[in-house]
Formats: sequence, C-alpha cells, structure tokens
Amino acid sequence: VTTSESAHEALRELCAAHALGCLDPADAVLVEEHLRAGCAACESEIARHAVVIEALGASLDPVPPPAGAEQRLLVRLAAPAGRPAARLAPARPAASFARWALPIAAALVAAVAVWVAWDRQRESARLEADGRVLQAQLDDLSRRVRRLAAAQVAVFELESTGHVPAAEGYVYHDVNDPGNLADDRWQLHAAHLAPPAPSVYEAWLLAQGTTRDLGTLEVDEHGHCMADLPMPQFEGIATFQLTLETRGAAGPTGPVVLHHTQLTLTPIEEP
Amino acid sequence: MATAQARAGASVAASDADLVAAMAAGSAAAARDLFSRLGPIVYGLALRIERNAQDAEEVLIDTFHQAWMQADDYQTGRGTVLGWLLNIARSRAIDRLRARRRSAQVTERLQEEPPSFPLESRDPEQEAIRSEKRERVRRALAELPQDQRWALELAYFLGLSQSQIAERLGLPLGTIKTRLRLGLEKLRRELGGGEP
Repeated sequence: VTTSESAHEALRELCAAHALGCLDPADAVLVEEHLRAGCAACESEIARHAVVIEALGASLDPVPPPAGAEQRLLVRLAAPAGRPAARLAPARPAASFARWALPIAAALVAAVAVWVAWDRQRESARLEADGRVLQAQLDDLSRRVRRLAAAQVAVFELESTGHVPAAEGYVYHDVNDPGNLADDRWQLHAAHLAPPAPSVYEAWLLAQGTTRDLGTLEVDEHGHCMADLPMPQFEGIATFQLTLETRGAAGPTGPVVLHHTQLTLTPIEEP
Repeated sequence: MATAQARAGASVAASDADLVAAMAAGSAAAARDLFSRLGPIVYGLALRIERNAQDAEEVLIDTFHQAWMQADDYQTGRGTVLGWLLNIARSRAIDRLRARRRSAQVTERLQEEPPSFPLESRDPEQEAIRSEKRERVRRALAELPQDQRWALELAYFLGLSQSQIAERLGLPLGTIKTRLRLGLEKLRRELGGGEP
C-alpha cells in the first residue's frame, strides 16, 4: 500500500484519537490499514500518545477497593474460569488425579480465602501468622489447580439466574468415562450460596423430555458446596439446574439459582 | 518464570513486572500483591467511569482476572504494568457503559456532564502523599485549554467517538479531531516529550 504524503498527514492527525480509542469505525479502518502497511512514524506517534493516556489514568486519586473485593478476586483466580465452559483440555495421564483433586483444590482454595477474610477482620497477630501459613497453602493449591487445568476434564460453568446474585459454580465431568459408570465422574462445586434454611438446595437434570432428581445438597456456613452428582446416562444436550426447594418437594418448583443449558455427555470440540 | 516467582515470593520489593511474571507462573500471592499495590488506582479509574461502586468493583475484579489470564502476554517493553491494567480497566468500564447505552438505560446520562480529570486535590492529606508524577499530570491538565480538556474527558471517561463528541458539543467533526490531537500533544509537551 502506498500512501501519499498528504494522505499520511491526514492519517497522522487521527493518531491521537486512535490512541484514545475514540475513532469512528471508518477512520479506524483507515488507520489500521495504514499501520499494517508499516508506517513507523504513525506507530511511534500512537505509542507517544499512549504514554500520555496512561498518565491520565494515573492522575486519578486511588480509592481503596470495597472490603471483600480481594477475596472475590482470589476465589475467581482459584476457579478454572477462563477456560470456556465445556471446552475439552488436552489429555494428560493424570486425569484420574484431576477427577478428585480439581474440585477439592478449588474448595480448599475458597475455604482458605474465606478464612483469610475473617483473619483480616480480627487483625490478630497470631492469626496473621497462621494466615501466612494458609497463604502458602493457597499458593500451592492454586498451582495445583493450574496444573489440573490441562487434565481431561470437561468443565461447565454454571450461570447465576440472579436469585442468589453472587452464586457461582461449576460442574466437572471426567470425559474418560463416557459410559458414566463411576459415581464420582460428575462433580458439582458451588460457592456464595445463601443459607438455604428453611429450604434446601436441590439439583436436577432435564434431558430428553424427562426430569431427574439428582438429590439435595449440603451447603456449609460459608455458602460452599461440593458434591458428587448421580448423573444418569443421557444423549444430546441437557439442562442442569440448582434450585431452592421446600423439603420434600417432588419436582423443581422453586427458584432456579444456578443453571447450565448446554450440558453434554461428550465434550464439545474446540472451534 | 520460576526465577521471577521465587523473587516475588522472597522480596516485598518485587517490581510490578516481577509480580506479573510470577502470576504467569501461577502465583496467586503475586496477584494479591499486585492487587494491593495497584488495585486502588484501578478502582479509582473504574469508579470515575462507572460512577457506582457495584459496577466499579466488577470492573476491578474483571481487570485483575484478565491480567491473571493474560499474564503470559504482558511485555515489559510495551508499557508499564499500571498502564496495561488501566487500559484493561478503561476498556472494560467503557464496554459496560456502551452496553447500558445500547439498552437505552442511560439516554439521560449522555446529557450529563462527564467525569472530569482532577486538577486540584480537595484533601490535604492526599495532597501530601500524592506522587510527583500525579502532581505533574494534574498541573499539565490544568494548563490545558478547557475546550480541549472537555473533548478529552468525553473520549476518555465516556468512550464517545469523535462524531459523538462533535454531536454532543454541537461542533464540526474537524474541530473535535483538532482539539483531541492538540490536547494530547500539549499534555505530552507539558509532561516532557511524552515521557512523564
């Protein structure tokens, strides 16, 4: 692409807006094409503007984040989020280890994070020391979770319906067992569930026109739950629901808290 | 990576870039340290754009989560860690603004005054502890002609395009393009040739 001097000057005028991200779409296309053609002068111009724009952000007064934000972040980092739901990771010989270790590690990480929050509130020197020990465990578990991210486990991220806004969770499936033979091949790990009393949390599978009760779930005082799911054999795409039910309910009549509408027995291949 | 991780774990004075390298190696402790160090600045920006604590907290957590996922991609030669985080935060905050705009929830808000860059501290304690760099940027902003500063604020905080800014201010598009360019160039000169 040959750009005349006058055209180059016109495009250079747009470098500031490009760095600010406020170009209109048509202008953005022109500038991108110009940069792809290798205009070092405009590339450099944009980089110089970027330094100024960075300084603009740093000119603002720091504001302490809300209490609990750090713990929310740590829980998010410990979860295998970021791996798109139901995307199959590359196979690893350690898949059987991953089956039980991934949810346990995630649960322990969440528990440690909650503990750390409580520890900070107390501001006790003794608890601070204990906190450092637990932090070391948290680091170790985080590394394990990262390693396990490469195991042959399909992960379905559950979506909150908003009934318990902070609720989040995952269903794990060891895809080495497509026949669904072992009890622990499906696992649920959920967090930030509100105390259920007097109701109970109950899991359901809606597949092929039928509803299967997967049982009631125990939720600890921190709103955390980890459980095996007695998932039946099914074909095609199914829906998983976690609902709040009155004790003894025969069907999913209560509000849905978490759900996933694309549950599959066989993994979805990467696009 | 292992060296960087060990450094981050062993020294409280690890650089921001060291912490990002340790994050890339899987250190949640490094992510927590970076959050403690730069989280307030990122949250300050998110709060300025979103103007409510709940959305700003989401932007804050999304920003550090994205940094965690993309720590491998961070390149020291392409800007500071703070600049990288602020870019992520601003982009995410503006995405949320635009989504709300699309759903017509903020029709009135577009008519509101945008957030402004701080030119003076209202808090003497803040004044005392503010970094020299922040002070220099504020002085440079205060030197900027008001019309150029307004155009910059509409682009920076509201994510408006040049056409939208022109429409908003009732001015020709060419005028806005010029004001944005002159504004940034003047700031660059005030800040020492783009190396604040």
